[in-house]
Amino acid sequence: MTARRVAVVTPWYPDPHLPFRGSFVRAMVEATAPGTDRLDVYHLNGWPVTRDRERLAAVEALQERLLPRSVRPVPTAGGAVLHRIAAAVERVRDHAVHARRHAWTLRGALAGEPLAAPVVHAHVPMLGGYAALENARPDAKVYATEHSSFLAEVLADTGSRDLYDEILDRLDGCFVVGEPLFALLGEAFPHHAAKIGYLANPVDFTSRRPEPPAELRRWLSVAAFNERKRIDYLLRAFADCRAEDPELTLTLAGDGELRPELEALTAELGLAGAVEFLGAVEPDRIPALMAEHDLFVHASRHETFGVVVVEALAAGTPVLATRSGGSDQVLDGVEDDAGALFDVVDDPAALVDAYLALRERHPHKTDLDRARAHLSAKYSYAAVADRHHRIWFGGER
Amino acid sequence: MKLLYLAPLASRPGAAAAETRLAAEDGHRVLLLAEGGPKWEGRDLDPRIETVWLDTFSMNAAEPLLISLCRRRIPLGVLRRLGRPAEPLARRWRRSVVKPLDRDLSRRTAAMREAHRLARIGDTVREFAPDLLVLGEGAAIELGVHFVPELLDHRPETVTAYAYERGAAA
Repeated sequence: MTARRVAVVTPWYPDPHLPFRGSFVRAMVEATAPGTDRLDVYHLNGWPVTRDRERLAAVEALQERLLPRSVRPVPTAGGAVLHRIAAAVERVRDHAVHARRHAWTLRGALAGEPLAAPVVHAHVPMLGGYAALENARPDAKVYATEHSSFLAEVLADTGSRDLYDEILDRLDGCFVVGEPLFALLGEAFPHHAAKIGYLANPVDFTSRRPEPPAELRRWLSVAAFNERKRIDYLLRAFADCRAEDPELTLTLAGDGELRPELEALTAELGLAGAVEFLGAVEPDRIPALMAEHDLFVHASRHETFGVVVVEALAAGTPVLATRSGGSDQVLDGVEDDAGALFDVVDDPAALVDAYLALRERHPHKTDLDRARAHLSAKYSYAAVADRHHRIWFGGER
Repeated sequence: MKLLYLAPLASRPGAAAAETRLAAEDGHRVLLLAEGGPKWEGRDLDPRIETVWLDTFSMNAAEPLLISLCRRRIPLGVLRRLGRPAEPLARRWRRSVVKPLDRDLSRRTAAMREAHRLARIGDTVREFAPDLLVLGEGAAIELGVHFVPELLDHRPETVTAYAYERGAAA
């Protein structure tokens, strides 16, 4: 048995159907695997199936037969090994049911054997964490990182909250990626407060633009088209700014259910020639995309971490972002160097005013190098990998 | 190898398209059995892939004309003509008579579609005799309960998987 062997258990990992889901888990694996003797990723992919009891029992019986014979390891990021496992989960909203089904599925895939690694790191305590705890060696250290934007919904249900409490009790350490989740968990489980810490997602700092942008005219948004990201708000504010400066352009990287409405709003605001819809973009393309634009704008209502803000600054691009929880924590101490933050309010004037003020200050009173160096020390692959390794092998909780 | 990729509801078309392409590139004979329709638009299936499209979403159970007339159209038509005073009665009729009819119709449609899917899958598995069976979505596992155990009993050497991935150790 090797000493630096790690298992990662996660409900999210990029696959050909959803190439962006869990890209931060892959980044974590890519960063940390090189410092281990072996890192195995167990991707428990939740697939909805019937909740009819009789049919579900038949599905369980089939899965008992299929799981031990249907999962084959393949190479993945950083030299790690990936095990893709289909978790056939009944169509119910109860998160505790999902948790138990994920744990049961992993046990089936392992043919009843425990995970071989002495260190297990799970993503999403309710799903990956519980599955990890139920399948780890008795002497294994088990950690988990919470990323979920739906954690409040999980904790609102008594059964799920009780199970989460049990999970926290059994974990050796639980980490969150940002202040909003830290506050939520601390409030819900004050008796576990000492066990909860911060652990960031890694961001690629290896490439950057040669010079900072001279003018902030080419705007970029990288965000899903859902209500929380407030792309409609961004479009309205952009329209107001462009009324004053017709050379402004906006690139929207992302996709989602609101796309038809957003395209219609773009036309309604007379922005058809100034706004480009790129669709969903592969994570590998993000750094180059950031570097090709002058300003990264982010109007999200709520973020658990704000990885795109870090990605923008890693590429050397200033940011204009909401105080959404994640972004303001990330930029704490370098807010003015990095760009500008504005409050989450419904009036687009908040973004417009922040933009105009930033345009006055940039580039003379911004310091992108300083902001970048500050963030690199916390969020680069090397920094995040070092932190994980110290937790896993060096005694840090 | 002969690879049968099952995606009976086509709920993960991106995975099905990418993985079948990969399998074809690796030199396998690939048969994709899936629900057809707009979900595949823009998915760029590899031309080497053989396909069996289920097209079950266009199938709907029929309601006997007598039931449709006597329990839906005539009563609701009469109540509509009576106007506003009959609206509470119309609502009650919809709730107590029409809704159960809709539920029954929906159940029969689901059963008809599933029977069709199972028949096509059964025929395909028998004729194609796959060496590698990929159950590429939840519905494939759910329907698999009807034929996978028998297949594995008769041909235990059949490889099963939830995805086709290059470099998978056998």
